[in-house]
Amino acid sequence: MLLFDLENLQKHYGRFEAIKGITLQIEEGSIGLLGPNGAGKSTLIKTLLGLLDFSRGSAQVLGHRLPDEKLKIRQAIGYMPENDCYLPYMSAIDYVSFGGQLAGMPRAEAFRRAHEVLYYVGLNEARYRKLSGFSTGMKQRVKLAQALVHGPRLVFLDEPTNGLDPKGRDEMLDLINDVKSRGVNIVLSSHLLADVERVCEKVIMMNQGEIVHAGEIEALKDDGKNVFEVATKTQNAELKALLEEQGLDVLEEGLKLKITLPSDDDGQLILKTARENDIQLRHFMHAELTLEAAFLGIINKHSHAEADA
Amino acid sequence: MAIHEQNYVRYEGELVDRGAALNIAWTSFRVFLSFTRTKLLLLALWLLPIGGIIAVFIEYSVRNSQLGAMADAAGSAPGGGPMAVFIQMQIFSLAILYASSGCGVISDDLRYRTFQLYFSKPLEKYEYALGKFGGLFLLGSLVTLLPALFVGGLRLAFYARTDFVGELMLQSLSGLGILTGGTLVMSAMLMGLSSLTAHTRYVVLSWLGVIMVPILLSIIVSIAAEGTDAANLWSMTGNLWLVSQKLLTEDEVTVPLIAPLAILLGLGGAGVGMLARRIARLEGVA
Repeated sequence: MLLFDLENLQKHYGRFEAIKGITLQIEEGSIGLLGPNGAGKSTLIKTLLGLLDFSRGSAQVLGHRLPDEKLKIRQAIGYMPENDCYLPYMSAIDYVSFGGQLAGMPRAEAFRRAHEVLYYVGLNEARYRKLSGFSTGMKQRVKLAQALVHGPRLVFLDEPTNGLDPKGRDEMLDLINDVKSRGVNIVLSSHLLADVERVCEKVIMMNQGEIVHAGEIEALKDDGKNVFEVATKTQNAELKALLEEQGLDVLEEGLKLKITLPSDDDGQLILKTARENDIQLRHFMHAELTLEAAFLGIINKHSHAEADA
Repeated sequence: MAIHEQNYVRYEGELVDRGAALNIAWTSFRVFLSFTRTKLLLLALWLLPIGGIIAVFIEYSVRNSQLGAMADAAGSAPGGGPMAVFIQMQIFSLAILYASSGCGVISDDLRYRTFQLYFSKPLEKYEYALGKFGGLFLLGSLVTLLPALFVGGLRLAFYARTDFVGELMLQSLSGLGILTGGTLVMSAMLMGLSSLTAHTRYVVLSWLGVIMVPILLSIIVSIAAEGTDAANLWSMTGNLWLVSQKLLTEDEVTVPLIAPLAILLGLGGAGVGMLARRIARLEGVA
């Protein structure tokens, strides 16, 4: 079954186009939703949840057509928002059980399931405590629990590791992977590309209201690109400018440059440019393309193309 | 215990499409009641109805005593005046209870972004509004309808074997109707005010203002116009007083019944309008 089947989906706010005609078919699985701020990720999520009416096009989520079947969609979906969304004077068990009831579960069943799910996310005895006393990590777990309580087929996770320490982040990603292994489809929206890489098999990249890439992460990282990692003594900016003049993709990552060369070039082009311009190289090696590098490369290319147009 | 050791299975049971408003109403009501200040205030505010219940006992005893026979009161039905006073007291109790515990009904959802929880679930915006309204109404009815049922019921029980039980029944039902209407209007007004801001303390201030300022205006107008009934039209409680006087007592009231009813409906409508405007603009997910 298709998770999303979107055909020329558009959303306008007055003259501003938040979503510019997205056409997309995504199969079941775990998907990372990436994009810089203002790319249209939140608008897309809101639209797919049926909270925003789209201006043009058609959309189906889990086989249910929007906007007619938006309530059916929300029943089949769990949503974990980025920011806090609870009344601090409620206990965790009441909050999660309430979430289950709102999703349509019978009261007694929702209460029983709330216990199970809170136990599952690791909030054992803490489930009876008021949410106001919870740490950031515990709050994230409660939000995940309320998204899972009614047994959704698809869970939207918006920045689930926000504010967590490394151990907490690790545990949360473990938890999400475990949820995934139990047959729940995941859409993970995150700025931390390492999180997306750890959880998802596929990725949707958005920029300026458009989808700039949709597909397998592995294919994105290994699409025949020939990437070199280079560092100079003090002339990174100069080398970058020179290589870009020759039409190469160059990304700055800390003190190093990541340069994408044509597949038949074994780095000679970089060495030649450095030699001719008297630039001293301190570091030169073949690099693996990370998701972050691929993401930045695609976003840069798309932004430049938009600017040129 | 590590998560992988948990025996977690996905819920495959039934999910129903109805009852969201009821769930929200019941949960909101439970949340209101969970505050210590609500419990303490309810204890204090119930002293008035207990006084009312004692007053019913006294009224019955007096009418059956020699004193009542001397005054020849036992031959006619008890008047509706005490009921009108009782309604006023309970409406003031309601205003106090709402100021203490009800003002966050929508503003807390705005402040804590709870809308994201609600609207990521399968419910319509009107169900949310209806549920919140129901929760607030249930809270309010603890100091309006519940005491009225006790006092009215007790009165009917005492006079059950008399000739004027029918008249008393009508009186009690009218009182219950006025309190229901008053609770509905005040709940709608508070919902409207609460939907204007995410700061509950501002809602409390505006609520007190909405109740107190018109009362002061009403007093000023009343003094200036030498106690005319029309001065009551300035305040919420004054309008309810006029309705009570018209329906429960035989006192001459110079204002037509339609005037306070229209004002009360207008106030309730304004509250519903403010709420509808806010909810229509919510997108739910940040």
